[in-house]
Amino acid sequence: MNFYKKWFWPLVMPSLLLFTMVILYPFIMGLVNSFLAWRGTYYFDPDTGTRATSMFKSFVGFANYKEAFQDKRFISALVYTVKYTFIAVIFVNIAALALALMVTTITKRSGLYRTVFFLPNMLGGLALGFIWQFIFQIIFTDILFSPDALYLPFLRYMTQNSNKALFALAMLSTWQYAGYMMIIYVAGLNTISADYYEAASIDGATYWYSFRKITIPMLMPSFTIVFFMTLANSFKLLDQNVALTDGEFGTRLLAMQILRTVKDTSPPNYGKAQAQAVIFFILVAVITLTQVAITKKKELEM
Amino acid sequence: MKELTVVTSESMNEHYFLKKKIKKVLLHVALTLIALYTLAPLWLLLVNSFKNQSEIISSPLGLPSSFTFSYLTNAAKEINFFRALLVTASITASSVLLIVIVSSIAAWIMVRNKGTASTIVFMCFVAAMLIPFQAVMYPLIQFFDDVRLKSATGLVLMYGGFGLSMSVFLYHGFVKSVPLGVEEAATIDGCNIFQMYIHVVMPLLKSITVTVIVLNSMWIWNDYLLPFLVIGNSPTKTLVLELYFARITAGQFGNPWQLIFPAVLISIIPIIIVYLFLQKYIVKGISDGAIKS
Amino acid sequence: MKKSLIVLLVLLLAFSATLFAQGSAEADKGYDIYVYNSKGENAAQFAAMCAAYEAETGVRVKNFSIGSGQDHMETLRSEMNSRNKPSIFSIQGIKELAEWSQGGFALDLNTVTTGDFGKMATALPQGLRLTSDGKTSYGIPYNVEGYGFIVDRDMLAEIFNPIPVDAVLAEIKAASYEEWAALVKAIDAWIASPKAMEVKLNGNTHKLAARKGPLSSKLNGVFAVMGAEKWTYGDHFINVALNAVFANDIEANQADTAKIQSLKGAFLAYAEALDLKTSYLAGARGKATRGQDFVSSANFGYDQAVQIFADSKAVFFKQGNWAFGNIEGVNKAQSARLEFVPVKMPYQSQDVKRTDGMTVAKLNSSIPVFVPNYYAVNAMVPKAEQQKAFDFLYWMNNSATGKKYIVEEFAFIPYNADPNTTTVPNSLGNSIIDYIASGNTLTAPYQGAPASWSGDVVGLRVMESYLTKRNWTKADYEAIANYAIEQWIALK
Repeated sequence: MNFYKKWFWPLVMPSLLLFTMVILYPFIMGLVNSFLAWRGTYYFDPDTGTRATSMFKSFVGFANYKEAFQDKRFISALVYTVKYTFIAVIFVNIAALALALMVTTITKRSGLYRTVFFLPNMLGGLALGFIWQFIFQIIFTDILFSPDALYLPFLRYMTQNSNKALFALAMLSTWQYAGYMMIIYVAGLNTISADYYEAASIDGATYWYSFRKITIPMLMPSFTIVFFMTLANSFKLLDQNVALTDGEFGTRLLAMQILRTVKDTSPPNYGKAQAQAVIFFILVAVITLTQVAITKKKELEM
Repeated sequence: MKELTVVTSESMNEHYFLKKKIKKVLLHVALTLIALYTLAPLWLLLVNSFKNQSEIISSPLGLPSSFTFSYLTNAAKEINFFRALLVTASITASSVLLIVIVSSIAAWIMVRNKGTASTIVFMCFVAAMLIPFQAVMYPLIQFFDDVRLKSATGLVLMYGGFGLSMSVFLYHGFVKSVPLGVEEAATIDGCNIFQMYIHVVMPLLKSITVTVIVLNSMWIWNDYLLPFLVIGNSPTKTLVLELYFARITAGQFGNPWQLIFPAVLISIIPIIIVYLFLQKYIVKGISDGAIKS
Repeated sequence: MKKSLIVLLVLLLAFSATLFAQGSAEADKGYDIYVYNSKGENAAQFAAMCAAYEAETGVRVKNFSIGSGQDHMETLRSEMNSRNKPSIFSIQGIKELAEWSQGGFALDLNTVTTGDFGKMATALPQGLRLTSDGKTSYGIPYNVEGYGFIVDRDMLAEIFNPIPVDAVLAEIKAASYEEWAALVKAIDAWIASPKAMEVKLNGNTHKLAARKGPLSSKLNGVFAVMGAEKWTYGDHFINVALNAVFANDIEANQADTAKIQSLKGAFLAYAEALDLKTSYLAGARGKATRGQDFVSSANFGYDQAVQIFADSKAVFFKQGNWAFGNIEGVNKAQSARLEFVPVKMPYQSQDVKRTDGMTVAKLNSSIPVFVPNYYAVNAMVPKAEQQKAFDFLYWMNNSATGKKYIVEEFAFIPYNADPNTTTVPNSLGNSIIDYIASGNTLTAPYQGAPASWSGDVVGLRVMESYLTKRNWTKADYEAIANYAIEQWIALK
């Protein structure tokens, strides 16, 4: 063990160096800036009403945070993001699990299906957002679900309505990520020994019974991962939001709100944007850590 | 008596197999429909890359009236396809190489050297996965510019830093399951640390390394915001950036679909090619990563 | 072991050293001046002009053009934070000016009094200067732009056949709002079934043609409107109304609550005029109405509206002279016959709060003419570089080559053009020059309103809640006007 001990710091050093340069130092600087009247290219001195001669003269305490919480747009973006995360996590999980179950039940061509379902994940968010914008605005609204064809008003004008857009975004996300999560569930399903199912069917169990009693408990580790990832990703969604609706009609998610805060103010209030980002981070951390703790506990119980 | 039982159980079996067959057929139907739905946007991309603007809007689902390649070639020119491809490929490759090397040795030594230092460092890396990009975006760019690294090189370093957390996490979980035995034997044989790592440890990490390479390549290749802020105004851009700028300059108002569709199509062709060739490894990599975590 | 450890540490040190040492020598930046241009549409032509400048003078000009979409400020700030700051950069009005003047980046041109550039800066007309208080001057204008209802002369000629079209245009320009509204309704009826009906314009009675001509047979409606582009009715349309209370953007920027509330009458007029315009819409395939389709960028985005007008399916198209290139691209013949007609609104005389002699009649016969973008010089670059920037800007606006680029390649109206003698190679530009020459111009006070107020707040609300509604009532006018006022006060 001494062998390893000697080499610990040298081998960890490169990663720590990168980590510090790219994440730690900027994060701390950002944290500091959230307490200052930072304007992106200079610091503002609230006492003199002009450019601050030094960073410290622009200290504003918690003013940025207060402004952030009082900002109606920030709060509504927050609420909207929570709503979206809720829907997306459900959609993606159900789709991924269903696909995984189907794919593992059949024997022929399962590889082909897996290939197809995973393909969307390889493609980039921004470009696909444009394509799906086209799909929702023209294909759904004018062609497939118009009054002349299969009239389904809910599926029309989805990008122009705050509530419908939640589902539009969720559909996009599901299309893009279900395949990836499916792979994780498939891996999890494959670790369940067939013996369990055989034993259960000999005892006369139905499909749903063995699903509830065998599949679900043994999938908990996979479920933890998938849930964690979809939760965090949904909360942080940006590219697709920009490309699909650009936040119009009340469809601004939190990540976009932070980005656009500086556009909404003149001179641009980067201090406030940074405060929002810090709040964002705390929220993401709290939610995901809670979720991991809960599911880990459930794992142990099962 | 015996005969009766045999006959009954045979017909029961037939019934059972028939039900199973129907179930399988239904499943196949369902899966095929879902597969078609999954591929539909790509079909859209394909057919609309041969149409002009008004045809795209009037009949987006149909086959093009004529197979003119002019839109594709125009799009390729507008987004400087080959140069952007080169730029994106080299940035992605360098970043992934950096990530693999740095995170694998860090994770390995953290697992082998049990102790509080290891745990704390590991927790730091994992916690960083929760930091949204916005929280570090502006200070990061400014800092890198101060050290004169607001360039493609700096971009690679940034990707290295951002990819660390997840990769260390993946390697860490995997290394835990690699037995010490082989390494202990190597120590006895008098290996030094580098030999041990290169010849003993790395080969064992092959499958998780594939995962790390695949996952990181995917998000780096498709990333938009970071390249935009770091090298956005330089003449050499990544594919995604070219796409973004081509759209802005061509259609300041409205959507130039006749440019967007072919441009998106050719920008995903490299990905699809790589995917089709390597999908076995990619899928295996992700499932392995999932199990080990 | 020890040897390997030392080797490793040395490697690490060397690595870190290269990171921090990279480029520490005061290397040549590769350029003499760096221009950051936020009008992306002329990117290629701008680059060509910079190359021409280098060929003439040997001064290397690095230029970067980006569309005025979402992120041009982000990249600009990123550049301002870097070592190689732009020597010349774009500022689009006093809202963008705020951070550059507060941060000390924008150079006050009033401090430059010597040399050719100093003369040029001093000669800038007061109304064209970039300033938030009237005492400073932070940029050289890119050009002058204007907007109104674009109309095809030949189309009007057919509708009013056989009255000479110049006479018709003069009457329309001078007409009151009531006459204008009646004209709109008459044309709408005429499109449905053409007959020689009477309309009153400027107090005189005129007759519409007895039957349609080749162009007017294609008409689907009176107005081509881009319902999906909230900046058209959120920025430009409402800007016309702001001229009833504010003489310029500085006054708007400094307005107090009482002044803002006095906009009520003007905003009511705005809502009614918007109602009129969007009740007589031309679609691609026939008449169009307000509704969900109207605000979808798939149906009524910029390109679609341009197409509708260029296909002669609409009579009037509210846009600016910047749209000339788009129209020309679709219908070159028509683009040579375009003119502006003022945007009229039903003001009452008490809605006009200005004290400089503005009247309802003048408001309804003028078009807004303003400077959309300025070239600012960076106060934070070395003095030598600033001087080179001055020379470049002087060359661009005064040399033969520079002026040729501005007028012909960029299709701009030069800010320093003499309206009585200048013509430009595009019909809309010349129409604007006519309005300047006759003094019938308004300004752009909306540029002094709070940062996101116009397009992103008022425009957004109009788009989401009103343009989707089939019928508007007086209560809707009130709601729109009150919303606009509340939001201005809240965002100040």
